[in-house]
Amino acid sequence: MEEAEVYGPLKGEPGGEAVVESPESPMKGEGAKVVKKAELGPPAAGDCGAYTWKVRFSVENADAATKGYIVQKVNAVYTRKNCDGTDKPVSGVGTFPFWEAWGVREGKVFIGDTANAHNADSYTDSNMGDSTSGSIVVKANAEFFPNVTLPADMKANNPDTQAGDLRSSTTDPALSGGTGSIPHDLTASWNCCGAADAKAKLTTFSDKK
Amino acid sequence: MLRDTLERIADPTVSQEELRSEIDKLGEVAEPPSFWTGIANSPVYSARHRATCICQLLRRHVRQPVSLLRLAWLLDHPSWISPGVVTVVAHLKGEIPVEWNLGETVLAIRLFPVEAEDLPVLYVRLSTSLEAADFVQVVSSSRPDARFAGVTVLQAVCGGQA
Repeated sequence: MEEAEVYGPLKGEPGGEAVVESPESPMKGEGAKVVKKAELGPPAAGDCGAYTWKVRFSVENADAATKGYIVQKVNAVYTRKNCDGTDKPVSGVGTFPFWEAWGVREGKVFIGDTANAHNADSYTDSNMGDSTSGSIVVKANAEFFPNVTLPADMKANNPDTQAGDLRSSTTDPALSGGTGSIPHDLTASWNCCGAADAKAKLTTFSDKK
Repeated sequence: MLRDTLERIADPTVSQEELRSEIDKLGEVAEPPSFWTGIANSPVYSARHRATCICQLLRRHVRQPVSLLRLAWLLDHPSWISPGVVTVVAHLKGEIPVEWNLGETVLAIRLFPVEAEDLPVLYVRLSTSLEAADFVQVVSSSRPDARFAGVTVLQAVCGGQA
């Protein structure tokens, strides 16, 4: 029995959200085992920079012998200003870029090396504060690397990253043998300076890939 | 059979491998939550043993949403929860084993981080906004605080590296 099975939740199907398949599908060679991304819904907007956007990864053409890792390089730039235009830097968001990994075993995707089934890769931020404006620009690339081992410095719950329970590091794992990457980008913007009503405070989105 | 298994799980000298093996033998929930909290809150056991039992407590006894006050009762004055180990998950570009939704709160509770770096993190998803300090106060208090009667624990799941 794996340690993660001791710690993990009861097994079952991931959440039942509606899945919207991504049109991106590079390396469409027959049988190519490439990462695929499906939106679990459009980005959800909260007030003043709060939002969440969830996608689910899978490996196209995976079979019971498919193993390795889906590795995503994530970069994010937080820009926040007071209403007088002066900078108000965002703290406590960790270091970028970082690399995070989902384990692939028997063709299925898991949260890192745990027995917890992958459900959703989340881009999520909380309210950045009234009387501010700004943007969060997230740019990432995900790629499947078959039959690789991750370096030991990729750790779950790494306090230097926003990867959560995924194994992650701020050092490039420099893996080889990737089967082709796909983009995973989103820009979230807000303007809570003199917002006249609740709707005006809502986060807006652009550059979604 | 169950009694033997529980006795071995409650043995502070049992190896981690045997502990896992015994837990694997458990079927439907037949033991009281106090079986797990007795280990979780006792310094007689290793941090890894305690962490394993904390995760089993949540896995076996919080299978459906419960009130925060009920969770506090279940945890029974957890000595392993303090302000220094509880943080709100405010930013995420990755994955955790619970959902993150606007208007809710997800707390990350590091289990015995001083004793070992590779122990799991317990993620607790709450139905409303709540500060980490308020959560610590609620679960540590001897008296239920009516201000938090409406807060529901939607999920409580251990993550961590295998």
